Amino acid sequence: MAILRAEGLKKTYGKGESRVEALRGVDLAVNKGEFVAIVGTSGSGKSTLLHMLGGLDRPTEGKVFIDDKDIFALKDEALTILRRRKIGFVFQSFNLVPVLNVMENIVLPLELDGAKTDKEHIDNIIEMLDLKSQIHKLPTQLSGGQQQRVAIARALAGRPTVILADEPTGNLDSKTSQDVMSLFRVTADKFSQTIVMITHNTEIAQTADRIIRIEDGLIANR
Amino acid sequence: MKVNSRKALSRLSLRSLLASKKQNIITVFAIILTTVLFTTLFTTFISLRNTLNLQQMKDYGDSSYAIMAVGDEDELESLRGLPGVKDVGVSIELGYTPDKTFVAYCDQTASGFVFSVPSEGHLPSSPDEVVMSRAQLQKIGSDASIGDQVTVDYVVYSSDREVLVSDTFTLSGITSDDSHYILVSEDYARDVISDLSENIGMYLYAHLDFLAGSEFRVYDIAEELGLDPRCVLINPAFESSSDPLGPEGIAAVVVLMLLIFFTGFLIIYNIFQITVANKVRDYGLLKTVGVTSKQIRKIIRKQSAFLCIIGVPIGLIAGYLIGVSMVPVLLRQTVYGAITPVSGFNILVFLGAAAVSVITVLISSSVPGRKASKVSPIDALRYNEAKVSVSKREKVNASIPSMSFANLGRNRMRTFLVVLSISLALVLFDTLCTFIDNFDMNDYIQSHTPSMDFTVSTPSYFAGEHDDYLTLEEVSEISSHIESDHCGIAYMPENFSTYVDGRIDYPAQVVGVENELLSEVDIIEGDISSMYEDGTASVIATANSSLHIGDTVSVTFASDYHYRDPRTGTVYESPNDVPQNLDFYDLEMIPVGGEKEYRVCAITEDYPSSFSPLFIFADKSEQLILNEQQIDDLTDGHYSIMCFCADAVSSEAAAEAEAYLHELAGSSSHFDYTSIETVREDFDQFLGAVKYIGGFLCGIVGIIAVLNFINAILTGIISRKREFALLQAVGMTGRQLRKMLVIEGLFYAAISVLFSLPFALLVNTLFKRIDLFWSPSTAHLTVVPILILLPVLALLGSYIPCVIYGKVRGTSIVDDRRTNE
Ligand SMILES: Nc1ncnc2c1ncn2[C@@H]1O[C@H](COP(=O)(O)OP(=O)(O)OP(=O)(O)O)[C@@H](O)[C@H]1O
Ligand SMILES: [Mg+2]
Repeated sequence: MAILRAEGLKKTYGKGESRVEALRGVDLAVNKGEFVAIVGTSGSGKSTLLHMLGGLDRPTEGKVFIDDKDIFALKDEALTILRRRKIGFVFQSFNLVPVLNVMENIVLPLELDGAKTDKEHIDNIIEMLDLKSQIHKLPTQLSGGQQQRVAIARALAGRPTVILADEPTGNLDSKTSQDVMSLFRVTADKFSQTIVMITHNTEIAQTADRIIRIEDGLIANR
Repeated sequence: MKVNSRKALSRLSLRSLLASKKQNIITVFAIILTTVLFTTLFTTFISLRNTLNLQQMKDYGDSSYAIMAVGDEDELESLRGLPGVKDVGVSIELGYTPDKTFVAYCDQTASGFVFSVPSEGHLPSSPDEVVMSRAQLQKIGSDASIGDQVTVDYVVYSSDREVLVSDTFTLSGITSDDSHYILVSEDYARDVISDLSENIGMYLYAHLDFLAGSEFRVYDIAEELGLDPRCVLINPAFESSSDPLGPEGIAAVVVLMLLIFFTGFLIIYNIFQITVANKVRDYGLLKTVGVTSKQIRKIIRKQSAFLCIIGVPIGLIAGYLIGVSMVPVLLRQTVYGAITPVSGFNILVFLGAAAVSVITVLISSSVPGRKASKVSPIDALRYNEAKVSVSKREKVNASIPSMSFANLGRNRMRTFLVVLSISLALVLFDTLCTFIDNFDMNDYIQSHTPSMDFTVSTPSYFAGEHDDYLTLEEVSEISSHIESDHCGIAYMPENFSTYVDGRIDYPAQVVGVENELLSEVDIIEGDISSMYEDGTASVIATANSSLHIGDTVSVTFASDYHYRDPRTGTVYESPNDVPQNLDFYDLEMIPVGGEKEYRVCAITEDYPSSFSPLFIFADKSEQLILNEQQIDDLTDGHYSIMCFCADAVSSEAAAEAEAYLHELAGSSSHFDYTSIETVREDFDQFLGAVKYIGGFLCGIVGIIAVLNFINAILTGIISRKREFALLQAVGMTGRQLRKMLVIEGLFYAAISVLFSLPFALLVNTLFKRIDLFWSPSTAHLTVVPILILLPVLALLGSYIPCVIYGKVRGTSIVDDRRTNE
């Protein structure tokens, strides 16, 4: 069953001369527990697609369904709440809140929701991501790889329906990249976590269950 | 581990607040300033109002809300405990002394209301005890102290005859000089009344104080008791029409409040605006994590609230202290120059000022807050990638000044606000300088100086009260010290009881002058030579009167009054003849006494300033000037010395007289005088207050302007740190960078000056129209003050950016990089 579904997604930026058709009609379905990698050349529309899937931006045309619900039928406020409950984001540039320590960063989305934190679950994640000794540090005191692991922990903390990752290894060296990727793999297997990940690196893409290629705003036929 | 979102939001708010200390210091400063201004304004206002109000009550002699004449003890008893009634004091009035001090019994409560709680000793408890003030003792020529014997002569209230009473008491207590009462015991009061009972009703008064907001019930209460509403006498100090500051005062407070609100808003808004602009990325980032727009607004609200918690209390205290110190300065501008101010300490002042400040802060932060909440998460993500897009657009080879200028245009709103606040300070300063510059001392003195060198009388005359007079012996003593070839006395009838053509509703104003002073009257029409003749009927009328040359007026000096029933035409010669069933209020009073016919021979614009009665009855009163013989005939000798006027023969004589009078007025509260010298002192004091208050305002607005400027420069640097790094990378030296910033600062200064010039001229032109303090014909406008400030502005404009750049650069480029990655 498709847990995440896109229908006829189109996104156009700008007007007139500077008009860019970033997405030109994308249909996509991701099943529960699936680990999908999206690949494509720079400027092909990968990030744009990911933003639409996560409800960060609204498409010009088309729909996105999460758990069979049309997310763009929601108002901004409700969409934001849906995002923090059902979607975990991981970005190339970690995007940790600099003034909060590691632990606070990880539980931030849960606290914002006023939800009861599942301490066992959080401890499991921290254990798995090997962050135990870092939880009181500030993001600026961590290395890039550590920061990205915190970002992943934060994405996992709320047991999201789907994790969307935009070039999570883009700022990391190849050794660290390998570590992060295997983490994703483990997560997908252990928590049967649905993951959609963008990457430039075809080698890294191999870790995934399925690879989707974007070319010029469209899904390329395999 | 149960947590809720509030805790998370608070943590976020606080942490990110602490992360930007420099901006916070400026914000807290701005909040303190705004609070200081509001508190100062409120404290000054309330304290001034309380002081003047208390003085009004003291002048009136009572501080209770209303006095109700009640019939007996039962009615009195039923007043106590009525809902809304806070306190009931009782007094029994017996009569008054020749100098119009009341003689009465007051209970403990009432003696408080009438400012007569003994400061030493105790209230009279036995019939032979009395309490009075030092001033009253002095008036009857006694220097008794507690336990000594005092004899009090007074007239008992009686409707048909004057019952003179003279009794000797033991002084049991001394009250402050504010008291208008000589207090006796209840037993004594009742004895006096029962002794003279046939003609005296019992004057039993209830002094009522109400719980706030229940005052309106006073007439209902009277009605419930079956009392005539005319038995209720409301204290004039409580009447809204007699607000001590008047509508102008209240309008001024409102205008100042708006001004402060605006400046406070300007600076706080500006700071939040810039702070938020710097954190766009952070807010976008929070949004990707799932912080809603509402929660972002909440974060910003929490931050402002936190800054308020620091800033507001400091501002309240400082503002209160400033306000308290300003009240005496302002008081000196009123007729109550010498009184001690009542503190404006009032918890409402603090709550009010705090509330207004917090509201100002919340409003000023809500606009940037809304902006922050609208940040799209995508933009925040893109911001990351498009780090240098701003600089890309700029030509790096552009000249430094043109880059500076372009920078001002980047955030037009910020630039505008900074320019506006600097201009505001400049315009205000210019207006103040123009005002002081044009304020013509000679003009002022001319319009405020009496026509003769010296006018000597009692303080009561100068306060417009006319209830204390000089004696002939005193005048001759004074005149012997003034070497004068032109002097004379002006007289007025006792009790103001003169009427024209029998009209009781508008007592006439009559001044009788010695022949010597007749030449001081400026005649605009007619001829006064006939007034010097013996037994003449010629008098002078003022242009305020309805009289014309040749008119005949009949003037009555009332020694008694008859009562006429307008319905039947019956005239009762004595109040005792009035039948019981008639109400005195329905009868017309007819003045009876010596009546004289006069013919108006000349018209003067107004009474000469040297001997003008300072108590004005009503617009419709006829105003006459008689000669000495005429006033003597008219009043049958019942007239008093209004004042003594003299011109000195030489300037040395004037200086000697000035010294003598200064000494005299300083040593006794019975004498006062005006002269060119006293007017000059008044003028200096007035100008001093203008400078003090104006300077204070200018200073505040100036500080706000500088703060705004510092803030704009600071944030301009912080928000462009990355860009500066890029510029330096492509070859711009630190010196060049600094030069760019300095030129930017100078542009601010230059634009502000250009902006403020037309406004300063406009404001001055408007001011010039007001013929209040200067003559519009000679007033000149000037923008010189602004031009004088130009170098100061230039110095600040170049110095501040240098200092700030040095400070910011020293610490943080590397840190900043790291935080942002
Ligand atoms: N906010 C925007 N305004 C205008 N054009 C945009 C915007 N966002 C993306 N684009 C354009 O849309 C197209 C797709 O961009 P997108 O960021 O999705 O590419 P991408 O595949 O993620 O590339 P990369 O691998 O370099 O990250 C590009 O041509 C880009 O210039
Ligand atoms: Mg991309």
